[in-house]
Parts: sequence; C-alpha cells; structure tokens
Amino acid sequence: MSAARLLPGILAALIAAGLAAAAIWAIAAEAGGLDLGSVWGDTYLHGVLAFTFKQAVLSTLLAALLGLAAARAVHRRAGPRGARALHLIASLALVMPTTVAAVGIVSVWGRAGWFADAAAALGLPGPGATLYGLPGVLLAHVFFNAPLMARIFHGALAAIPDGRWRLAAQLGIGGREVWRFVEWPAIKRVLPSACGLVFLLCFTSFALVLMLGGGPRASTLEVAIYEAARLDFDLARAATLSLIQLAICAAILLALARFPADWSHGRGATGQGGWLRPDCAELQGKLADAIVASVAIGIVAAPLTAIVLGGFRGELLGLPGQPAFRAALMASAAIALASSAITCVLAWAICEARRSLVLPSRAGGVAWGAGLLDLASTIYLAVPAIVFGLGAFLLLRGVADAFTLAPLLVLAANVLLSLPFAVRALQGRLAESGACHDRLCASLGISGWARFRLVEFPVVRRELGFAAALAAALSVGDLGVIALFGSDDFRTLPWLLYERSGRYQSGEAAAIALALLALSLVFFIGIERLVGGRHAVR
Amino acid sequence: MLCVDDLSFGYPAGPSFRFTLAIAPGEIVTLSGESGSGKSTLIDLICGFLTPESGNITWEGRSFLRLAPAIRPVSALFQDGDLFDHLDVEMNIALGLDPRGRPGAAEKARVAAVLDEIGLPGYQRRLPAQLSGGQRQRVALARALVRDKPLMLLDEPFSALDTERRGEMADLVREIADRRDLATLVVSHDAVDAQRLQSRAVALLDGQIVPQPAL
Amino acid sequence: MTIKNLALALGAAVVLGGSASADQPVLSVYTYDSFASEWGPGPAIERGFEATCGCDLEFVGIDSSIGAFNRLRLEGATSKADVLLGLDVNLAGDARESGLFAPHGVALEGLNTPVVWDDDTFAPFDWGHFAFVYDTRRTAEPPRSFEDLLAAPKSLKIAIQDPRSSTPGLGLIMWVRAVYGDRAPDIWRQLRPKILTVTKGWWDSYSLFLEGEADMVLSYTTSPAYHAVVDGETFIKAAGFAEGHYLQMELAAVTAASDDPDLARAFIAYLTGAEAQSAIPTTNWMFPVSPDAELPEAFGTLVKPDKTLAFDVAEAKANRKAWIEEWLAVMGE
Repeated sequence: MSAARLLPGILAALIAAGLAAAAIWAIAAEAGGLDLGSVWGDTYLHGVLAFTFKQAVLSTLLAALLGLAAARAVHRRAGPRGARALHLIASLALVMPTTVAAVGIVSVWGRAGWFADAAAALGLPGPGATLYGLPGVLLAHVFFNAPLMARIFHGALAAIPDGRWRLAAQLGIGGREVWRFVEWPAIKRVLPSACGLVFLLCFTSFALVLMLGGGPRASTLEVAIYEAARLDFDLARAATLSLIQLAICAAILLALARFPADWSHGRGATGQGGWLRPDCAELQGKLADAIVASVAIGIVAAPLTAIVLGGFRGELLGLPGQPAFRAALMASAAIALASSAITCVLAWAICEARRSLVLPSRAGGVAWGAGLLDLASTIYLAVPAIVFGLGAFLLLRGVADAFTLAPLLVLAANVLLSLPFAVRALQGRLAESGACHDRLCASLGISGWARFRLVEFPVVRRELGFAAALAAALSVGDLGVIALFGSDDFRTLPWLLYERSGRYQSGEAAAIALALLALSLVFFIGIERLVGGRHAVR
Repeated sequence: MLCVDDLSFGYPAGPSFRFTLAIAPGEIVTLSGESGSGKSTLIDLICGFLTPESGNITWEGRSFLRLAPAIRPVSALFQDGDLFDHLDVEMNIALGLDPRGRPGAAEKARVAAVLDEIGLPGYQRRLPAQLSGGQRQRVALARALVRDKPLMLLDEPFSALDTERRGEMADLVREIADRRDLATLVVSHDAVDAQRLQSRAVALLDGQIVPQPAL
Repeated sequence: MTIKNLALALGAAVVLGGSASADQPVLSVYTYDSFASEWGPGPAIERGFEATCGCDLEFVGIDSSIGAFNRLRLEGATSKADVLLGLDVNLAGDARESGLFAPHGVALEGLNTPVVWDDDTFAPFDWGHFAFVYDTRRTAEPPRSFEDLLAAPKSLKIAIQDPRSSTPGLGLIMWVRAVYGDRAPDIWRQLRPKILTVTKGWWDSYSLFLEGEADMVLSYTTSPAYHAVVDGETFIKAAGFAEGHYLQMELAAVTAASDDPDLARAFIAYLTGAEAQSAIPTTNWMFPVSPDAELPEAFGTLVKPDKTLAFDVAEAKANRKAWIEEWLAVMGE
C-alpha cells in the first residue's frame, strides 16, 4: 500500500543526495582519483579540522542557549506581537549574505563600532581588536543562528497546551520545575534536529570565519577545499577534502537521526499560553528576561539596525532606475518563487515517505530508513558551492553549456539549500496528521489530490506556509553557485551585490544589501500569509 | 456472514494473536478485553491496515484479504480521529460517498437522509467543534452508514458518552443493524452495553477470542 | 506574473546564447566579472573594437581570473574562448605549462610597463602596484617603509587578504619575499600582531578599512584615484614604501583552441592600443600600458614607487605554493 507514498520521497531524497555525490564524483573522475594519502598526513589540515570542530560546537551551544533564553522571554512577555517580531528577525538573519552581516557586526562590535564609541564616551577602555578571533566568529554565528533557534524553540513552547500551564499554576510549580516538567519535554523534541542543522551551517562556514576569525589560524575545512579547487586547481585534493567534509557531516547527521527532525508547532498551538505561566510574575524571571533582551538586542538587533542604516545612507533612490538592478530583482524573485515551490514539493514527498516509514505498524528496521531520508535531504549543506559548481560544470560538459543553464543550476542549488529547512518544518505536523487520519482516509478511500486538498493542506497549511516562505527567503539571499555562473545575461541580487562591492561601489552595495533584505522580508511575510492563511503569522 | 478464520498476526518483539470469529447479518457481537489484548489489532486486520501472517477473512464465502481498505465490505468507526475537524458535517459524511470530496446533489440528498436517520437533521453546516460528544459519534456513525457496507466495526463508540447517551446510542446501533441487516462488531468493555445491544458477547484472552457468558 | 518572470529569467540565457548575427565571426573573451560588467572597461572596449573588426565581441565574465583560467582548463580544446584576459604574473607559469595558449604576435616594445616584458604569449594590458592605503584623517603619520610598519605601535592595525583566495593577498606574500627573501617568515612573525584580520576577498578588507576598523588595508597605489575621481575625496592615500612596491600586471593571451586566431591577435593589438587603454584608468582603476593613453589628473597625484619589485614568471610559479605554506605556518603558530 505504501509504495506510492514511499517512492516519490525516496526519489526526491536520491536526487538531493545524488546531486551532492555526483558533483564530487565528477571532480574525482576528472582528477583520475582521490588523494587520501597526502591529505591524511597534512598536519596543517589537522589544525584546521580541530578549529572547525571547536568553533562549530561552541557556536551551536551558544546559539542554542541564547535562542532558548530568548524564546522563553518572548513566550513569557511578548504575546503574539512579540512572536511575530521574532519571526521577522529570524528570517532576516537567515537570508543575510555573510559579507553584509559581517559589516553589520563589525560596525557594532569593532574597533570603531558603536560599542567602542559608547565605551569611549563613558571613559572606559574600548574593545580594541578583540573582535577578530574566536569571539568574532562566535558572535557572527550566534547572530545568524540564535534567531533561528529562538523561533524553533518558541514554536515548541507555544505548542504546549494552555491546560498544562493552568495545571502548573494550580499546583504551585514555579521556576526551575516549570522548566523541568513543562518546557523541557517540549524543547527536547526539537533540540537535536535544530542543533544538528546549526552545527552543519557553522561547520561549513567560510567567509565569515576568515573575516572575523583574524586569519588562517581560524580557517575551516571549507577554505582548504576552496584553495584546492580554485587556486591550486588540485582536483584530486578538492574531491578528497570534500568527501572528508561530507563524511564528517553525514556522521553527525546520522548520530542525530534517531531523534525526530521536527520543528513544527504541534496541535492546538495558540502561542498565547505565555500569560498563564506561573513564572511570569517572579522577580527572577523578570530579571532574566531583561538580561536576555539586552543580550539579544546587542547581538542580533544592533547589527541588523546598522545594516539597515547603512543601506539608507547608500544610493537607495538611484537603484530602481538601473536596468541591471531591475533585471537582478526580477531574476531573484523568479528564482525564489520557483525554488520555494519545488522545495515544498520535494520536502512534502520526503516527509510523506518518512511518515509511512515510521508508522507504528512497521518494525524497527525502518527508523534508520527515516534517518537516511533526513541525511539525504540535508547533506547538500556539506557541499561547498564551488564543488557543486565545478561538478555541475564537468557533468554538463559536452552535453550543454553550464553558463547557459546557470538559472537552472542556481535554482537547483537553492532548492537543495532550502530542503533541510523545509523538511524539518513540515515533518512533525504531517506525521501528526498521518497518525490522526491515515486509517480513516484509507478506509474511506481518500487518497492523492483529494487527500491533499481535503485533509493535509488544511491541517499542515501553516507549516507549509513557513516552509515555502523560508525557502523563498533563503533563495533570495544565497550567493553560492551564482558566484561561479553569474554573467551579464543572468544576475541575481546577491550576485549584483558581490559585483558592485568588488570594485569600490560601496554606496551602491549597501543599498543593494538593503533592497535584498527588503525583498526577502516581503517574500517571507507575503508567502507565509498567502500559503499559510490568515492566521499563519501568529 | 463474516468469517475470521484462524487469522494469525504477531508484532515484532511483541505479542502474537490467533483470531477466529463469525458474525451473521443482523447480528451484533461485542468484544471486550483488557488494553493491549488485541482488540485494535483485530479491527486493523479486518479493515486492512495490517496484513496477517496466515488465515483468512471472508464475507459470504469470498475472501477480502487482498482488497485495499477502501473497497472492503467494511465500514468502521474509529476510537479517535473519527472526524476531520476542519471540515463541516456534510463534507465529513459525504466523504463516505465520494472520497474525492466533490459531492453532487444526489450525494448531498443522501447525506441529508442519513442525518435524519441518526437524528441530527439540518446539521450539515456545523463544524465538529460545535457538536457535543454524542453528536460527533452520531455523525461518524452516519458516515459509516452512507457507505452501505454490510459489515460495521465500532471501536469503543460509547466511551466518551454519559450513561443516558450511551443507552440512546446503543439503541440507535441496534435499530440500524436490524433495519439494514448489518453484521456488527462492537468493541466495548461494558457488559451493560452488551446487554442493551442485545448482542453476543466475546472476549479476548491470551491472544484468542473466547465466548463471554451472559450476565 | 510570477510564471512569466520565471520563464523570462530561465529563457533569457538560452536565447542570448545565439545573439550574434550569422555572418559575423564571434570573438569570445573570457575574463573576470568586473572587467566585463557595465561599469568596467568591457562595454567601451566592445564598442571600440566592434566598430572596426566586423565581428561580434562577446565578453564572458567569470567570478575571477583564476576561475576563467580554470574554466578554460576544463573545457580544453572544445572551448569557445578566443582570448583570456586577467591572469597575472603569478599564474602565468601555470598558464604557459597548460599549453592552452598560442603566441599573440603583437609587438610589445613600445608599451609602458614598469618592468621589461617581451613575452610572446602573454601581453600586458594594465598594471598597478600593491600598496597599503590609509585615511589621512585617521592616520597622520603613515609608515614610509616596511621597516616603519614593523616598528609601528601595536595599535596600528592592517587588514590583508588570504593568498589562498585573493590575488592581492598572494601579491603581499610575493612582496614580502621580494623585500626580505628568506627572512620572510620572521618578518611575518613581526607583522602578525598588527594584522587585524585576513579576509577572503579584497572587498571584505577594504570595507573594514572604510568603516574605520583597520587603519590600513592592502590594496593598490591607484585606490586613491577612485576616491578622487568618483567621490571627489582626497583623504584616502597610499603609503609609499621605501623598499619598493610589488607589481601586479594583468595579462591577455590568445587561446590555442581559437578558431579565428587572426581576429584574436587583432583584439590583443587593439586592447594594448591607445583607444582601449584610455578606458582602463577610470574603469579598471589600473595604469594603462599604452604611453599614448589619456590619464585623468588624479593619476598624476598618486604615489610613484621608487622601485618596482617583481618576480619573473618562472620564480613565481616555482615558489608560490611553498611561500603560501610558509605564511600559513607562521600565521598558525
């Protein structure tokens, strides 16, 4: 009975993992093999690996901690409006091109930043150059990932039924026990998958690490791959290093596979239970929230503000008159919409397959099958854009011109990039809906399009809206493959930004960065509303 | 006549069962047993959600073991998740007639008729959330009925109801089974239900169905 | 509207592939993106050359000159490229060894280059010196030599680029080697505390400098000209170093696979001529190689290195890898 439900998902996962593998295979084949021997004994690489791990673990930890604290604070105090603000900030941080974000962070925490100005005004010693090094890397990664974590955790908290809070209040449970008995069980469900994804994002971080890490002491495996693929044109080494990165990321994902990869909000999520929380009125809680709010403002909101202000200082008004800008805007919008739609279809297929794999009636052997699906849908994050681009070029050589197909390659890369987020957003709710309705639908013969239209869509609509919005926003911001295949004929906004900043055009670059943020914001809010329905954004 | 003939099923690293049972048209059988005794497993096997290791299930001598759940001669009312919360009463029932969810005038007329039959006339536009527990059960029953299957499975249909409603519901089931000549299997713990349904009582014990002496 | 836009975006590239009219030969030039872009030298050169060549000149902008070279390597004999623009001396050795290029046949004697250049395969089309750039409003007394820089207080912070991902970054490695030879690792050790950060690309560090984070940034002696011409600002200056400045010279070459080598050679001749060269200073912000090219006034005020430092192609090729590793070892200590 489940072949029809399994096959599309397995196919989708195979495509995702297959493209990642094919790119590396193509490079290895061109090089005539791998180069394991010389890589193994490379002591410089050992150092790189150690640092890569260290910063990724610390970044994930800090992002999770701040995200959790912020989610609790918002849940306690802010109500629906605060949750909405959290949504926006999370989506903004996700789509920010790294260079833009780094400039924002530097203008707050750098030697000549706001923080230094404030310290000087108060007669205190400034931060000096302490930003550049591990602190800068961590700050940047927390900037990018804490809002995402906070959004996921807030979703989990909002899914706790109001009755649970009433009960806690009635029983006089407060402070630490609220966490232990009420919140932790909800957080526990989303923690592993969120941490896994953020770890992967930090592990493969590249430009940020270099810029804020101070130098080669702080370089990641990704830099070594970049150097091998680009400067040295040592394809065997590039393929080998890519495989190592892939293997490490796969191992981590598989280790997390036995936990559900699920971020959805659960049934009956109202997001309004916060005021019922018994710890709302405690002084400790108020104090903690005040501290969290100021830390979050410093780390996330201040750099964002700096970027927006920088954009307004730039040549914003001149932009719409430029044909290149208009073309890039259109291309970005079209790619984002297409990517969003395709991502959702693939993610849906994968979640559908996954839920029929983990049906309670099926025996243990399929849990790893679900793990493999998660792995396949996520592993592209471990493939550097330059490797994907080079691989695509090699695979298409002789068949078609990779540059002519640039829009399709960019689209494919964006879909693969968004897929893990979309899968995680849809999965829980879709599985829940399956558990609720599977037997009834089967006994009534409701299947295919009718089932989607009548049963799944109304139930999963909100999560689908989030997934679609996220995929679109991520596509708007991505400067990956386009950096290799962009040309006069085909530009996206991030590529235009990259081009303009390549030759002194700083005012324009800042304005384009702002336009890019605005576009992703419009897409995020618009699509979430459109697909998710009126009540999508709580 | 429904014949469950030496049907065996075992969960991996879990309990295993052997079921044998016959129900004649117009007859109601009530099945009781402790939780985990296999009641839901039996329902799932008859509905087609689980595949038995051996044995057979037949209706009027023809095996329907290989049929998909939707085309078996079975209509079931499940313990939970029996209504789609986001669809109105009419659509919930009409789905029993047209699984594509595009009911025409004829289907709507039949929905209206069955709503009359179960005593909820004019309830088409209500959402499940606007109904009482007893009314929800009736709507679910109505959907089971519109499908016109000769065999009806009811998994704890009365558990959410108070005593008075239980009695009314049991009477309704009895009445419908008689009128439509349905072979009916009711999962219920309550001996009072069994009596009011004028049913034959059986129980699940150690993975097998055994007769339950009347009180 | 969305579907239509998507179709446009996806369709545009396919259509544009065949935009040349059938009877004109197409000259395909691979180069880095900013050269080909609308505010780079590309459009002016395209107009100028097409006016006389009776051909369709097509620039293919790629993310970097190294990227363009790598693409050529991958395409090999099947490449449609006739000319590659933008390699520098550091990569010319690898380029020659690849066998992908053919002699350009252009006389280079009259060209105005800081070092004698008579290569028959690689023709220079512009050049500039690497330099540390500073802001006179923040740094009144910039270092006047490497020795000054080494002796400067620790609070003077410079931003540089990673030689593994950036050509100026690689240029600095060469510069330090050219000045100090085998003492380079020790010099890097002394320089290290002054390095604010090492960025992936030139722009990342340049923007740090503009934001006031870094006091000096590794860039070109020509950078102040940009600010003078475009913004009318004169407080951005390049620091002249007594030991001399390392040269970056950008090279053009005809591909061996070109199906119209005569046209390709004609293009190299045009590129190094006065007309095309006059477009270089204010679009690529480098010095032209033609002595007859017009130079904007701002170029006259730039720092003129007392001494030009440069390794030849063979030296650069033989040592590039070892010197990067040497630098990595010191920076990672």
